Amino acid sequence: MEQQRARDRDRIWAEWMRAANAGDDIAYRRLLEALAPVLRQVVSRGFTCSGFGNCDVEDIVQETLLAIHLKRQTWNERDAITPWVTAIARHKLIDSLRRRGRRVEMPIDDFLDVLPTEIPTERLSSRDAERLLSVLSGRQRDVVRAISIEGMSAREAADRFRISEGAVRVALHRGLSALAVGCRDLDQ
Amino acid sequence: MRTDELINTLVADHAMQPGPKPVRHGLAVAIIAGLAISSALFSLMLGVRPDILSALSTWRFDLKLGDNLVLVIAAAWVALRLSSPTTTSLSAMRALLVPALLLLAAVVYELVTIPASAWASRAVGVNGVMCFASIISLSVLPLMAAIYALRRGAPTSPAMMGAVGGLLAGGLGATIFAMHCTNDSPLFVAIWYVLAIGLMSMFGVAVGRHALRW
Repeated sequence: MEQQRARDRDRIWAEWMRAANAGDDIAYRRLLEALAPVLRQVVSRGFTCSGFGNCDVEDIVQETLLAIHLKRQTWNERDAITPWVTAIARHKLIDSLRRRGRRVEMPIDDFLDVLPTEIPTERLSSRDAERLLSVLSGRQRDVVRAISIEGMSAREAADRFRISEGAVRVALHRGLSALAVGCRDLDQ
Repeated sequence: MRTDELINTLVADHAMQPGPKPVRHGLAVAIIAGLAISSALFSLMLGVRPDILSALSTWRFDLKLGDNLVLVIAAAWVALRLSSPTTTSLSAMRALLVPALLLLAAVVYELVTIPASAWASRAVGVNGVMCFASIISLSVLPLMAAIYALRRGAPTSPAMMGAVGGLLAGGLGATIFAMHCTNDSPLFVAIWYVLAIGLMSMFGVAVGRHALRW
C-alpha cells in the first residue's frame, strides 16, 4: 500500500521532470513545490537523528532544491527520480553536517516511507536574504534579488537594468551557481 | 530568503533554459577540444615519428596506442557514470580494469618472450624522462577542459571524479604522444606512461577536490 503510493508518486514526479525538460515551466514548479515539504521532513529527521535542532532545516532544504535545479541534467529520464532526489538530499545533508563538524551515519535510506505531510517549520531560511545575496557581486546580485525577492520577470529585470534578456539569463544562472557555492562558504 | 521565493527563482531560471544539456555533451566537446589543442601543440613541438607506417604494423606500437585509447574511452565512460549522484564510486570504476589488465597482459607476454638480459634496456628505453614530461604537457589542457565539463555533474566524491578526469586527460596526452615515441615495449609503457598518467590522476584529485564540489 505504502509502496504503491511511493511508486505512484515517483511516476508523477518523473513525469513532471520530463515535461519540465521539454519546456513545461508549470510542471517544473509543481515538482519543486511537491519536493519541498518532503525534503523538509527528511532533512528535519536527519538533523534530529544527529542531535541538531531544526534551526537550519530550511537552509538545507533550499540548498537541496538549488542543487536539484543546477544538477537536473544528471537525472536520466528513463530512471526513477526518487533515488536521484534522495542522493542529492543526502549529499547536501552530509555536507552541511560536516561543515558543522559532525561525521554522521546518514539516516536517509529512502523516501519510500516518507509522506509529504506538512510539518510546522519556518519556511524562511535562517540566513537572511541580504546576507545570502551578499555572496554575489554586482549584476548577479541585482538580477537574483529582482527575480527572487521582488518577483520580477526576466523581461522586467532586463528593462530595469537596461540589459538584454540574454544577459539577465546569464546573470541569473551564474548567480544561482554562485549562490550554491556561497551557501557552503557562509557557514564555514 | 523564503523557500517559495527560491522556487520562483529556480522556475524563472528554468524557463530561460529548459532541458540543460547532459554531461556527456560537454565531455565530448572537452575531449575533442583537448585533442585538437594538444595535437596542435604536438605537431609544433614533437611531430609524428618518421617510421610511423612500419611501426603501425608492429603489435607493440599498436598496443601502446590502443591501450591508451582504451583508457580514454574507459575513463570517459566511468566519468559519465560518476557524474550521477546515484552512482557509488567503486562499482563504476570497474571499466578501468580493462586498460590496466590489457597492459598487464602485454607486460607478461613481453617478459616471457624476450630474454631477461633485454628487460632492463627495454624498460629504461630512450629518454624516458622526456616522454614523461611530454605526456604531462600534452595532458594539462585536456585535464582543464575535462574538469570544466565535469563541473556539470554531481559526483558523490569530487576527488574520485577528479582522479578519473586525470586518467582521461593523461590517456589523451599519452595517445597523442605515442605517435612520436619510439619506445614501444610494454615494459617502457608500464613504467613511464603509467607514471605520467598516474601523476595526471593526482593532479585531477587536487583540482577536482575543489573544482568539482557542489
